[in-house]
Amino acid sequence: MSLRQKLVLILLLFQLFLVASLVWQTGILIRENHEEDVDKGGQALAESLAVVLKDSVIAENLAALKQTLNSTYETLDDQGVDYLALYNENQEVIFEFGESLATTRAFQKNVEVANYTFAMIHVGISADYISSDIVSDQKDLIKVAALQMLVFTLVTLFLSKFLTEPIKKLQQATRRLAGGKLDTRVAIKGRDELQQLGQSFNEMADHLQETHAELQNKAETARAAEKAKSEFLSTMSHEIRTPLNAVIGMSQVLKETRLDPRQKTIVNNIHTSGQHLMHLINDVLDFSRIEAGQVELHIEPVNIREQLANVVEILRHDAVEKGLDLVLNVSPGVKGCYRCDIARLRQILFNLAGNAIKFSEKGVVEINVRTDSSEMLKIEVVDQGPGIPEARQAQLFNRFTQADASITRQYGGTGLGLAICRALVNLMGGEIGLESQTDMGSTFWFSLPLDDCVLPDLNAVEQPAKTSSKKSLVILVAEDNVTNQLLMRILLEKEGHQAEYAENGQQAVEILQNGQFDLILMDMHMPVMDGLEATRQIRAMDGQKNKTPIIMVSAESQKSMQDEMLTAGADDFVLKPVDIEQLRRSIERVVNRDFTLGA
Amino acid sequence: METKATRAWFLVLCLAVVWPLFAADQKSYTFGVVPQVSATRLAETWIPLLQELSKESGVDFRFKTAVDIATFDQRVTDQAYDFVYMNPYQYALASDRGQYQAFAHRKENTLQGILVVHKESPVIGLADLNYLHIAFPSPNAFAASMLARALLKKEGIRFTPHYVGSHESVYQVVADGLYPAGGGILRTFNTSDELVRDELRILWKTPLYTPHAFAHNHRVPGEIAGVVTKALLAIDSESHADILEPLGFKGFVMVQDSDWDDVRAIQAFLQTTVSEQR
Repeated sequence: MSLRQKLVLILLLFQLFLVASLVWQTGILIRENHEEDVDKGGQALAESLAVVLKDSVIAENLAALKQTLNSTYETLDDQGVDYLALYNENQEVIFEFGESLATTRAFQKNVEVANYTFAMIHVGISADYISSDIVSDQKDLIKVAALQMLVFTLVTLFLSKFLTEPIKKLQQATRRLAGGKLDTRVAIKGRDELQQLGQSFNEMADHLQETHAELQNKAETARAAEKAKSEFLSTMSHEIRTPLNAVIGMSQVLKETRLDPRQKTIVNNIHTSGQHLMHLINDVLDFSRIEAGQVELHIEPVNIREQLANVVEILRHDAVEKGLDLVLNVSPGVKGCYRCDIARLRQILFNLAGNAIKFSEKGVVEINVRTDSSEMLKIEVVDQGPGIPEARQAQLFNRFTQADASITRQYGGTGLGLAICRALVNLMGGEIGLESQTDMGSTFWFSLPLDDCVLPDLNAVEQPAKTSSKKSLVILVAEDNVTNQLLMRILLEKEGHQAEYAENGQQAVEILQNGQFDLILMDMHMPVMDGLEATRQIRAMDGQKNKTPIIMVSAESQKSMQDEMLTAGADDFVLKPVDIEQLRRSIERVVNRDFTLGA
Repeated sequence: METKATRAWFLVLCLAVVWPLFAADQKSYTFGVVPQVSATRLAETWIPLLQELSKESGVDFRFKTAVDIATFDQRVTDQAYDFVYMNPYQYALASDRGQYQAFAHRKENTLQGILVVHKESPVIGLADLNYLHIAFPSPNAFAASMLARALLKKEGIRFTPHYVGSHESVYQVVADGLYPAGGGILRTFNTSDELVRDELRILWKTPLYTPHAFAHNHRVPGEIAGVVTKALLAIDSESHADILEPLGFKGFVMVQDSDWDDVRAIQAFLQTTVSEQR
């Protein structure tokens, strides 16, 4: 029930009560007044007659008496006088007009002189006359009451509207404000409390709007700061990794030249140290990105069995080197296809299985994959290594924590691996944990809530790709850093490709216009014109040259950035530091598709 | 003995209870009064006298009067009243008919008719009334009307009589100037309203006559008539001034029927005169 309805109801009930009690009281009063009037009138008539008739009574002028009484009776008959009589001193009737009924109100007056009674006047007033008069008056009363009720109802309706309209306005305004329309204001006229309330509401809304704007500004500033930080991070990683790439790449090339054993050991050390440093940097960057919420999952349908087998194949080399068995057990309940970010899943598994291999001296490392009761995909890595003391287990997933401080010295590692794993699993909505006892081995596990799916048939396209892998290509490399140019040259020459070099995007576009290239390797960050803009311009060129395959080379591992590259027109991308194998596969993929398209 | 005493007591008790019933059932006697003034005024002045009379005599009276003297005369003739206070002329007739017996009249045995005029009236003698209109209480009022009219006629005065109902009315109409003269009696003149009286002058008086008679019908038992007479005679202006003064009485005296012979002497003369003037 609305406020207005309540108000109307209460007022009307109250008024009804008032009017009803007033009608009741007035009704009683009318009756009493009538009866009093009648009593007075009756008595007055009797007394008047006693005076008027005194002479005639004393003189026994019967003719005059009869005539006077008769005419009086006839005159007053229609005014309720239904009985008029003269009695002698012995209570005997002398004259009588009308009839005295039980309902008649009787009045009498003696005609007397000095207490000597000559006769008695009797007057009777009809009770019907009284009540008919009362009924008529009461009808009038009820008419007036009904009219009053009607008028009051109208006034109440008007008043309630007048009173509740501002409240309704306020209520609607409040709802709009609560719904987020901060520019809502109310207009209430007058100088009363409601108007003040409306004013307060408006002031509140003003404050709210100001505060909201302030907060938005602050949020904007915070976002800007966050972006600056992220860009700083990205830049730093690029700046650090660029020379490091050169170190690793050069040392790899150097390793394959003819060296004496001592030199070989030194070069190996350089290479390993470089890679370790790269891992460290990658882990630190990765972790800070995850913590900053900058990691986006790239969910796609994945053939999980094939991917797991691939991971095992890669790790098998290390296991065999240490004399360990690496076994993959996939239970029959595991579906062929799941929707997930396979790169991150692989990252987690590499981490856990890599640790197992790293810390085990003997026995088997098992990777067990199954679906549990709640349709989660659960992956366990079981080793027969030294185990982890219970006291250390709880802290193990915290950053920069290892089972033993000495481990860092013995095995290396940043202490970030498990923290990254946990962060990634949490990001995917899953759980991670371990069971372990000293000297009894460890079981690390994680489970992910994954939706199964139907795998797109990619094998048909992939299969023929491998045939024309060793073709010699003419490649345009857009790379501003001289060291990286050198590294790229070494890598490409090793693969048997010819390369031409551009200092920036602008130069790359110009060179492409004057020459013919099978492929462009485009660095992301370059002065004058960056890789993205150059790619767009190339794709906008006339003729067949705009179809030249482009592989973006960048340290940007963020999916949004990768999407931007693809949107700009790149066919694929390769992460820095450039891994020879990765580059080779990407080139094969892009060129073969191009050939397929061209054929 | 004991039972006898008880029976006696029971008898006394019964009598005590029953006696008032007999007493209440006592016959009451009507007392008619000639209507010289308005009925109400008559009742107001006479009822105290009757009440006193009842108290003294133990006889219950019902006050009676009539609309006018003619009606009253008729009722007297019909013997409607047990006791009557009536004018000498009426009494002489009633007595002669053998219906009523006088037992008293007021102390001053002088009934004197008068003719009144306005105090500033140019009328100074009876001769001045010739051809004028004269007010009288009623045709049958004795001293104020019959006697006056008869004597005026005897003097050879020609006039037109007007009957205005009562002595009071006569004094009032003359004082108001409606009529140049009017007939009354000395007693009622003296008890009339002082304001009215001051406007009037007595022009002429009739000879004195035996006044109004208190008479009882012959059916009234002798002992009742006796106690009433005794009670009436006991009332005088010394002991009952408050009762007698409004009536203009000073007391009452015993009478004989022959006292009204003076009236009887002019009866024939009055009858002829009055019948002529009606």
